Amino acid sequence: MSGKVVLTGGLKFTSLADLFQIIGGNNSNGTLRINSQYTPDPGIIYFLEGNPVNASDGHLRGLDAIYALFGRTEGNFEFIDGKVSVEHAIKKSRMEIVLDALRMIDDGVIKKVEPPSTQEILIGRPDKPEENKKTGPSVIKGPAIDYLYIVDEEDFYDGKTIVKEGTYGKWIWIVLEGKVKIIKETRGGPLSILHLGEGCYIGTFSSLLFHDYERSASVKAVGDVRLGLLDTQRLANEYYTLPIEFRGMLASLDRRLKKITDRAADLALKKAGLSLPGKGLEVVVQSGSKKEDAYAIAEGKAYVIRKTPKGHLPLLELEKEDFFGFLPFMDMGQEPRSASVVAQKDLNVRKLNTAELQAAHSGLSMAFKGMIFNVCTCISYTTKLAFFFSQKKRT
Amino acid sequence: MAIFNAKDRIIECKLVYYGPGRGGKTTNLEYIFKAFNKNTSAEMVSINTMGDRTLFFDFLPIGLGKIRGCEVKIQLYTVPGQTRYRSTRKMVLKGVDGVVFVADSLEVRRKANILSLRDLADNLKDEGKNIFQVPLVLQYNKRDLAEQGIPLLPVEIIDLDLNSKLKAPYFSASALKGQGVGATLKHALLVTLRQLQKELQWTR
Repeated sequence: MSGKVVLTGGLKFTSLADLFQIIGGNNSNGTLRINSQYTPDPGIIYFLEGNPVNASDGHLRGLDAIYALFGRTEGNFEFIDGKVSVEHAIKKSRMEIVLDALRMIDDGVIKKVEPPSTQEILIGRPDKPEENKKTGPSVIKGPAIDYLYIVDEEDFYDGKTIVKEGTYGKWIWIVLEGKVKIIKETRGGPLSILHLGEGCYIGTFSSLLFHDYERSASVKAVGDVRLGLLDTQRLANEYYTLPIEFRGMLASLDRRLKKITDRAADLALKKAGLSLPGKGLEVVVQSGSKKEDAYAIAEGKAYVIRKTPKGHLPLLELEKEDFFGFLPFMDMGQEPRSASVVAQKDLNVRKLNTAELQAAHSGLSMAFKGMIFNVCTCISYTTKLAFFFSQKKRT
Repeated sequence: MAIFNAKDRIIECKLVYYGPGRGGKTTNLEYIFKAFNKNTSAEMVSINTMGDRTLFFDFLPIGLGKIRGCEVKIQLYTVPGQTRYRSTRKMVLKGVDGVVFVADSLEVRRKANILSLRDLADNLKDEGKNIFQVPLVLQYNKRDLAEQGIPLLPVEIIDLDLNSKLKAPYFSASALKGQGVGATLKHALLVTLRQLQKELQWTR
């Protein structure tokens, strides 16, 4: 077995049906691995003389596994050249499998593996508390759990404080079972901001840095919770291999989460908080813009604002080294789709190399990608919450 | 666009039978598979899609000779007409080299023919192709049913309905009896390969 990766790419561009025809047309021998951000294990299909002979996807084997893998429309694949010695569990011809699988997708028999929808992420709605009373508060769900990074499991009983705001600690957990709530200590008493469910991370990128890290909010168990302690060292190693620009962006992402959380707390307490400079503001990124650029601030300040029925709501202030704009792997529920960025004339920016950032992102482990995804989801959710508080305040 | 398999020196083209449901696409392919068994691959793949069947097999046009030392293999497909089978249709029409449109001669199916042809044009457009440029042959099927007194549309009317703008070659057929099936296929292969030759500037 030569074991060389001879073909790689993304499923969005080359679908599994296409791959079957390419590998089949070349009568190739080897192993096809399919990785997706949304499932923990890679899917594997073994080919002999261009025909699939066996496969695995999670607990599925053989033909069932292949059919399930056709549901993956996002993710990466790699074909490793070389003869494989596996049991010949599949007797159907490759075109029969392809045509049958596509029919099953159209018939809804094969489930498409996709990112969790907004509906799935937000069980319940922050803007409709009366609905939440019936269904319980909104719980954010995370992406699929990467068990490779979990070094220990810990159980916490209902009401137990896992992390206390203002204390120092560098551990990062992932919620395996149950849910926790994020609480911000305010002058008006503790304010519950978010509920995090399975697959969500407790702790962010700042925990991976050398310097001390102060927890920006408290975390409490809601019901009994099982957490997985993540291998911080391994994540930190991964962090330090990233390009500086990428690391800067992660730090900025952390700051954004902290700022929007503070902002939501201010709005909930009816504190004035952030206000925009009165004059000379220009729109840098228009809400709804389709431009695919991202920038880092070299000098000056910028503001993320959101349009509301009652005028513009300033969400947060961006400073030197913060980034803004469009990044394909980040949906924060703010600019460029749902918010604008405004700044004064003296704003000086540096254009980010989006392609390079994306390349770095696609090389990350599932655990790391999940963490980014989770921070973005929390920002997005907290933004909605801030919006809700602001509307409530003014009525 | 044909696939060139360098390892086996084979040029693979795709010929798709399109048309309204129960119009005779499957019957056409089944007849070809049986009658030209020397030319076909060992097996025919048949997928049951609701109200229709999707068929696939390889066809080796013997006697056509080689193109620059390469064998030509034709992949014959039918495609399920129903809107819901989007993924299948997309895969089948991806890189299609030629199309046979099988129209149903029954009077009651007049509208179904027109809708299906329009659907074909739309689906080809999705694949970045133009129905006026894709090698296309029409087949007016089920002509034999006239003998049983079933009302059929005259060939001239179907041709006016479907082909007045396309001006594609057309054939009358009774796929169930095998009449016109071979002629349709041969002509479809001819126009498909001629187009390929033009596209790739092959000289034989």
